[in-house]
Amino acid sequence: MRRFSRVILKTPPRRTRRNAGALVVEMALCLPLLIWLTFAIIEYGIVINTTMTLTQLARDTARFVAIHGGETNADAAATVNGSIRAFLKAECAGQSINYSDLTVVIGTMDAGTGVVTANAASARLQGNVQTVQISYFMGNKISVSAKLVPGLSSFTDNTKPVIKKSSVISEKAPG
Amino acid sequence: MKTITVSTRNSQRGFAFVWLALGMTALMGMGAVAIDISMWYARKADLQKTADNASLAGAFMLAHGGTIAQAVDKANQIASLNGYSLTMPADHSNPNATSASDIKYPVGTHNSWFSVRVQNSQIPFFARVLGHGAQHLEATATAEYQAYVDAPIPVTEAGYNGLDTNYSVFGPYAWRAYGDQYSPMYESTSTPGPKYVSGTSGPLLSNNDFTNNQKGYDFTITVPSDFSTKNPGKKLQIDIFDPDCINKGGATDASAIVKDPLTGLITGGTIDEIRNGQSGRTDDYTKTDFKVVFTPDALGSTDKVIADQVYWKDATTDLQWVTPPGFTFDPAATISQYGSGRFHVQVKSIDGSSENGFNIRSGPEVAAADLKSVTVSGQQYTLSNISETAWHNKYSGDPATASAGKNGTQVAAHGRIPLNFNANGKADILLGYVPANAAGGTITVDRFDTDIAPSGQSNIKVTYTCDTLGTGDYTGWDSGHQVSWGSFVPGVCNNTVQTDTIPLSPTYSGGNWTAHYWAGGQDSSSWTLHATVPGGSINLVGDVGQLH
Repeated sequence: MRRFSRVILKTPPRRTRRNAGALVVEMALCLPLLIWLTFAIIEYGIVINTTMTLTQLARDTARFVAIHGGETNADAAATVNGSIRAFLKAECAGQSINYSDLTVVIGTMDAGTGVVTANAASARLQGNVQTVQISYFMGNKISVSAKLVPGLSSFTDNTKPVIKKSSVISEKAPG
Repeated sequence: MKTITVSTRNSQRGFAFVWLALGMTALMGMGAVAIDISMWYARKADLQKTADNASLAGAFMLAHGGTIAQAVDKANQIASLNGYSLTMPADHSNPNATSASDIKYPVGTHNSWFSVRVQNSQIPFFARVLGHGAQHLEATATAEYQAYVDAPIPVTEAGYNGLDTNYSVFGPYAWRAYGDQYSPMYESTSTPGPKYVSGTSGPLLSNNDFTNNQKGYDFTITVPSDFSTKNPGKKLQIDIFDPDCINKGGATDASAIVKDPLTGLITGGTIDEIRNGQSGRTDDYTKTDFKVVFTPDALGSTDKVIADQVYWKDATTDLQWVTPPGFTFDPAATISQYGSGRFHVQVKSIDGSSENGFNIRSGPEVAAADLKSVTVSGQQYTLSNISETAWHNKYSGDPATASAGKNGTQVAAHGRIPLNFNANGKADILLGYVPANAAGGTITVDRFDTDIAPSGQSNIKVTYTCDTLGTGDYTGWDSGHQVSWGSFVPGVCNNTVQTDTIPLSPTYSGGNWTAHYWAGGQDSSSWTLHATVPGGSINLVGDVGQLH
């Protein structure tokens, strides 16, 4: 920019006005591309951050389920002290994800299809495998501009949530 | 001059395009690098989750009697459910570094450690144009199993260790600073403890805090397989000493138990301490629930409650051995119904803020003449009608007594010992038998609030001995594993935990451990004992992930 300024100073006033006009036109042509690029970088950042946060939430919740999944109030609402959902809600408090936007299923996973079927706390027997599944719509985080970014357009589909699973062993007997 | 002007004008036209081209290249390059690296880290987080879960699963199987093959299978199953499969070398103690993923067991001298490494590679989105191939990603997690150690009590007296000390439990509305690490919901002020919220509506376990005693203190009742042979036709009887939380005469502090030298009967003393606590309780006096529970060994089974009784301000049971309703039962019938398992007594305070001193003994059911039934305000109590010396002679099974060869049962605090000093003295806390498979591992003793010095001293003192390692204080097994105790050290653990880690040599062959603790009257402390032996809980000892 400094070199450019010097050039401007050396050029006569008539030519400066003409150049400035050209610059505006050029910038007008370039700006959309720059703005698109900026948004693309921001959207990618959000998607990756959210993905890692969801992985972390699934992992921590599964660890809680391994120890407390068999307790009588394990499947109670997030308002009930000691429940799995209360734990997840507390975990979300320090993150950029709203607990109310998450869908949680705790149960057994079909190894073939990957489908998680919810089970009762009393069925989480010691030594059995439990899976925590967390679903989240990335549309809660990214804007429509992501539709114009290669690789991100699918995340704006509000019928396809991002799903994270974590499978663990129940360490305690129910009750 | 003219030529130069034209040239300048021409060069300035399209200048923004030039800048854009240059800037875009740099921006997109940086964006591409950022996205590629972020994707690698996101995948690494996934690998770490898998390694953690798989190593915990393997350690869990080893902790619950599984073979190495079963542990490896379970780790593999969990890893594949988490999205990655493990390829295991045949020799788990020496995994093949070049295989995709592997399991290491044992880890060095640690027989209780189970390590899983998950490896993967990810082809970058953008860096491939620069010729960067697949990025190698790796995560390793090591899980350890350990178990509470049963700390047995030789019950020949009303006290835990002679007459000066007792087991004791504080009410949930007491302060932790009083000395019970696990029962109270509060620290040391009227505000709820930092680990709980809504203190008056019950404890909430916050993230990874398992400090609270959800099921109370746990006491193992070991019943040998030949119990019915030793005690033909007899049921098992469990007695609780002073299950109530009230002192006759209204004393608010504990004092040494007094016995009549001729009859051996208890004539005085107090073992409950009345303390104010927080609002929300019904009363200062602690209400305590005593429960006999059977836990079958089979994985996947649930606890069976055999008997359950609550005591509160029952003056009738003060300083008495009491047989609560249902505490006399046939253990063989339970085992034939549910298979082998562990009998235990759970002691949980459910209201109040005071300290309830008590003790537990077990043996064959006693003759009807050795019991007395007392009914007070419509409540019937079954009390022992003989002195402890007489009970010891007739029922304890001690080789030095007339009951030698009988009984065979043993009461032990399972991992957590709540201890109160009624008077100035020394407690020999039997830490139980730590088996040879803890070799190379550690015994960990957490002592909470051991802070009241015995009279004549300004500090408390703790030492450790092991019967197979000589009579002297244990100080470690080589120069690299030195520990030292043995002097009256400052009481640094007022309302805090002091952890004594006792390292065991790789050639350790098993032994009975004892902690010796010198303290003053009214000292309440909680002791937690665990060792790296199978049977209990598992936890991660380390996890390391890397991109390389």
